[in-house]
Amino acid sequence: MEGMSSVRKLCFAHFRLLRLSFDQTAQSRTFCREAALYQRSRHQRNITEISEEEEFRTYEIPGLKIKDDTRYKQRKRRQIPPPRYRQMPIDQDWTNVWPAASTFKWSVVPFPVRQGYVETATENDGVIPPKYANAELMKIPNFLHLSPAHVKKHCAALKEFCTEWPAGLETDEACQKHFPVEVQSSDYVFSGPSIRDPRARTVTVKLHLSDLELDYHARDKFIRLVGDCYNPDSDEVVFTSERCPLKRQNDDYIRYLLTAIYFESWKKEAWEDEKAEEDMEKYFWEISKSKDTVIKLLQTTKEIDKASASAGDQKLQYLPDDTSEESLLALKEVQEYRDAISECMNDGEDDNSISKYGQAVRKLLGIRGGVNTEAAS
Amino acid sequence: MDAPMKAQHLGRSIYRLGSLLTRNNSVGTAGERTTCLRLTAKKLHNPIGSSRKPLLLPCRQLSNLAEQFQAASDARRQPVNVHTVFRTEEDDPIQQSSAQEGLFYTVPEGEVKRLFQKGLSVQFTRQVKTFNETCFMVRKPALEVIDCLKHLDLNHPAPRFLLYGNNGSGKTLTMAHIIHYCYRNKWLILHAPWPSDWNCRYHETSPSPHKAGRIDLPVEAAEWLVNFRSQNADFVRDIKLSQRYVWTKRETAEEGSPLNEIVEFGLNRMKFASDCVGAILKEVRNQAAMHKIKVLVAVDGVNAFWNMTTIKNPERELLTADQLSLVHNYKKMLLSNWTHGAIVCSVDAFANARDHREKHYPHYLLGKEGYKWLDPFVPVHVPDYSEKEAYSCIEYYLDRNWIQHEAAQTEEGKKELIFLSNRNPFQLMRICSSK
Repeated sequence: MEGMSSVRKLCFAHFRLLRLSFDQTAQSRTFCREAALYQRSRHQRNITEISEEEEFRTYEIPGLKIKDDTRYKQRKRRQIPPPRYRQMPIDQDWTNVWPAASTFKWSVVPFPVRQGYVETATENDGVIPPKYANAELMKIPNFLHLSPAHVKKHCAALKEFCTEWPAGLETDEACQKHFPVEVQSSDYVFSGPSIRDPRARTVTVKLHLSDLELDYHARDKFIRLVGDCYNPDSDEVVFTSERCPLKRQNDDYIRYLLTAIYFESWKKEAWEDEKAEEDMEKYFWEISKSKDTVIKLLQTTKEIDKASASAGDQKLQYLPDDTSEESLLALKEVQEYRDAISECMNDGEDDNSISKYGQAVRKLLGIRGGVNTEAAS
Repeated sequence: MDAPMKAQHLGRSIYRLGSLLTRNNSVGTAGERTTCLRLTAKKLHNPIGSSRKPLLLPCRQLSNLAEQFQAASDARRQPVNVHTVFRTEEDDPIQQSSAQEGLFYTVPEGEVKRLFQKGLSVQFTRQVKTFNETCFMVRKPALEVIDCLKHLDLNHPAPRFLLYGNNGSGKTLTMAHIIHYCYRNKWLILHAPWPSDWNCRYHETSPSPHKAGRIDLPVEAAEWLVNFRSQNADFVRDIKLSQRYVWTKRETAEEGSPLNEIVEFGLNRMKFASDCVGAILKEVRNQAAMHKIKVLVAVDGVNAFWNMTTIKNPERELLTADQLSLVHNYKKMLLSNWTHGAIVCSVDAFANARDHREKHYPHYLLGKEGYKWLDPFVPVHVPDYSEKEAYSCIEYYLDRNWIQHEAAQTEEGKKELIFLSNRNPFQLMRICSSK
């Protein structure tokens, strides 16, 4: 018993020591030393316990005893509410839902929409992905902030700043007539350290060429001078300038440019008379080789007709005896031919213009048969 | 279907045939012969009664109901088609008129050999070989040009006709038809089958001995000479040279010797073949009026004359086509400064370089230079098949057993073929063949 009590004392002393060491948590170095001591002592205690043989340790078969795992139980999650589009009333105001430009949000947009590319039939079952978590839909711009309802609201808000539309300018044609020159420039308003914006200096001036007083030569020269600024389809000249730092300067520059080009195009220099067929802006039959060919052909034909003694029915009836160039050019057949070939060359070829050309040539050369006879008979 | 309805059905089909035949008969009385091979009495023989005249028998003359049944079932077995007339026996282009439009006529074997050694497309030649006969369809553009040639005043400068149309619409075959007409009508034919080959598919080149800077194509020139000789066998002996041609110191062609001699010389001495071509063209041009010879100049794909060649000169620059002596000489024939002749050309997108094939219109294909050279010309549009022509062509293929699918016999099948080909002759040919 003595031995036993001494062991108890020893243990007790050890526990006390341990408690002491736990109390002094702030001094970790001490704690470490004490802990090492404790380990050693536990080892000693084990030896003493085995030697004691008072009671058997119970062997716990893992899994047999039901563990109390309440500590590990997961916290109950908050229930996810259904997406917003499921809770929307049908008659809501969409402008409140989507007030400004924003990236696509699947949970807000109340209609089904799909976007993306499915490469094979196996991928996503061959179905284009729907809107849920669809990155493709987020990449593209949307106009959900510009619905008719939005525009209506914007207009209503802007209405108080508008003035009345001037009388007499109801149609586009009237605007075009009274204000032939259109000047465009932009102002940029934003909050920032500087109120200047470099884009504000750009000025664009548009006008229709038909509104300028130009004759054929001046018009042609004007078009050649302005180059790309002229759009032949809409007959519009567009000058754009951003070369000067201020809007006013650019505006002045374009006005100067327009004036200068206008008066320059009315001038005719001596060298302009040297314009050859290749330099012409379109096909002119009078200076083309075709004219020489035709005149020569008709003159030859007339000579042959004069020389041959056969019946007159084979001859080109319409040719006059005088085969000078002027008299030939005055002929109806020649003029018709001229118009037909000019149309072919200037307006581009199509079946219609080519058949017209063919008719003119048949008349010019007196070719009978084919289409003509069928039409006649 | 009950019996009266069947009988009625038969009656209608017979009436249809009857009207067709009467129309053809009336045409026949007007002086033109048209027959329809498929439409023999074979189709109508039994149901109506063998002893009677087979045609124009309305069904109410059938004696009893049993006979009507028999007739109706027979008629259903052999669907009678309105479009079975596809062939005409009028094989002389001189006699053909718009009555034969859309029908095929057969060109005799000998004439094909003589006229079309070259000048027909590869696909068509293959088809001709398969069908064992050469058939051209009588089409409007050819009739138009032939009619013009008939009414031509030969004393006037030679007029120029220019065929244009979609790819595969039949320009080459239209030209072949015209050539056949001219051959029958005793014209001298100067035919350049596909001068685009001179630009890029030549065999060998050599500098011209006649003029420095020009290039000769001896093999092509010799081929042309052979073709010329076979097309104009009668003329080459009759035309005598009007001047003396000196090839070398020893070799000359004397004045007054026949044209044949130049051809032979060109074939023997290929070095001078191109010059011989030039000499022949010159002689023909000068003597046409003198000897009252009618001359046809036919050039298929004439726009090749104003294209670039693939031949390089010693400075490694590509030559233009008119630096070839063949082209240079041929271009002179295209000017209408000579009489007693006609010039028929075609413009073809395939004769142009690959990047200039978008449109089929003359000015686009010829370019400025070519247009200047040919102007004023009579443009002749070669359209795709009309409905009638398309059906006629399919019938012809069926007749040749070229289309063997059963569905092609039906109206739907034909319509499908026409739809698939968009009535383009070449496409129709392609679709109906296995390739």
